[in-house]
Amino acid sequence: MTMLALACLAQAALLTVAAWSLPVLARPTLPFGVRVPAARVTDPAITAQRRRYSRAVVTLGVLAALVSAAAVIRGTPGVLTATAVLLGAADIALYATAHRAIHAAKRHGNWYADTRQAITADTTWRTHPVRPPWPLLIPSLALLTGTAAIGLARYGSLPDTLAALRGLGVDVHHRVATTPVTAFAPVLSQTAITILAPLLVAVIVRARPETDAEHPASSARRYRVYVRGIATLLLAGVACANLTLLLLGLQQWDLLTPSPLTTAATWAPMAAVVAAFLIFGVRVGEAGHRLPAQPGESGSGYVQRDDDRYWHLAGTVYINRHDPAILVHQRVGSRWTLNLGNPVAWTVLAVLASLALLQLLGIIDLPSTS
Amino acid sequence: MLLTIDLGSEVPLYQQIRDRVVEAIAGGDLAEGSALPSIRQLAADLAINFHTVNKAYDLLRQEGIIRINRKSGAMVRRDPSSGPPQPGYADDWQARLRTLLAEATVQGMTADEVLQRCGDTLASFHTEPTTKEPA
Repeated sequence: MTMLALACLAQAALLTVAAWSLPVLARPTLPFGVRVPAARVTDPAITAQRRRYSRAVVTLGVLAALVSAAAVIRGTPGVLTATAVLLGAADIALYATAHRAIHAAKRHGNWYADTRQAITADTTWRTHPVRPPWPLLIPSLALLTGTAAIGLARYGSLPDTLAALRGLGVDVHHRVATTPVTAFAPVLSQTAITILAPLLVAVIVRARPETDAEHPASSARRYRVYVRGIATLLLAGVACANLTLLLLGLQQWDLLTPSPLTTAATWAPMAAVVAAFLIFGVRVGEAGHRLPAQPGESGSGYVQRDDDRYWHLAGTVYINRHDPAILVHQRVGSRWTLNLGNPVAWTVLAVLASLALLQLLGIIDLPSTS
Repeated sequence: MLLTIDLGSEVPLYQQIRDRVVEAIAGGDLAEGSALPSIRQLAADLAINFHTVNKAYDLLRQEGIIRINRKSGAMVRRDPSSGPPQPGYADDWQARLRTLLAEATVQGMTADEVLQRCGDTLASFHTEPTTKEPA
């Protein structure tokens, strides 16, 4: 019961920190997903919304932590999931409220009056593209090969049932029938990650860069550093994920005894990846905006085009039929999103939806660790 | 090369793209043989219609400034060091210059001021390139 109460507190803390940090780490010209000129980033309307949002998120987080911990102690373990859902929904609602308020202030104040809006393209993004550090895949491939080899060597002597992969480790009390799919689940997951992550990197380095017409040279340089960093972290992350899956596999194949120490060692690589992403997010910032300016990089006299009309759901969904880009950088977080105004994006979504449907109907069996 | 398009300008987008490429070549940011993004890539990066960029590239191709190859994409065909202009080009250019100078005269600019600004602009083309290729 104490562990569950601590889990409630930790969960509420994590969700609150994540929600609180979203606007803190966002680009100054995109407060709560609204495009504003650089001259307006310290506008009182924006400052007020930041303060209101911050206070509300922290207050809700503290309340959620206390209420859920108390409920768990009084014998309601199911409150853990309910708290996550409700707190998450509340934080999203607060973000959306701040977004709408800033949007309204921008509209009423006519913030783009007397500005010269422009768009900038860095042609070297295409002629001298960012080259991901592909050699970082070598350890991933070695781990995949090693895990498969160990699995193959062990398969013949496995018992009729295997400990199921559940939560953070293997659960010896829940067992599944030994089949090639269940026995090689870690290898299948490694294979999927080792294929998908580099594909994702290849797609990201080809997506439209976030070049700011107000500071074209500076933003182009910073974005290049940012994408190279993201590519490096993703490729290194594959190796860490494969190492974690190897250790899970060894436990499932009875080559490593499950224990709290084993679980900690198993997830240490992924913890390192998460820490690296967090440090990167704080030091480099979304689209590299936190990197320092270099001498000679000055403003252009223009402001970046106001394209709010193409962004929906507080800057997370992009729909522009006239934009040929398929993948664009999201306004919130270090993420990319499909341009739903492009038919190719719908094709991608249709393929993913079909795979999900086939998995649900049991026609195909996608790799899973639970 | 950083290609900036002024969305509030009366100059059409395709003309601005064409003008920026020409200025980049004159200023040394691009040279003969320099690669340019494909039409689709540039349209995606500027978030504008493919046909707008196609029109700009077609204009540049007709002027002999770039060549477009299906396999290698777009490439700069000539720069200031590529030799003298085609026969007749200077006369055509002077005809366009006549209109610009007429506008300056009508607006009250003196001949000395016009010549000074022409000299300053030409001098700016012979300074260091403003953008360098990334590491």
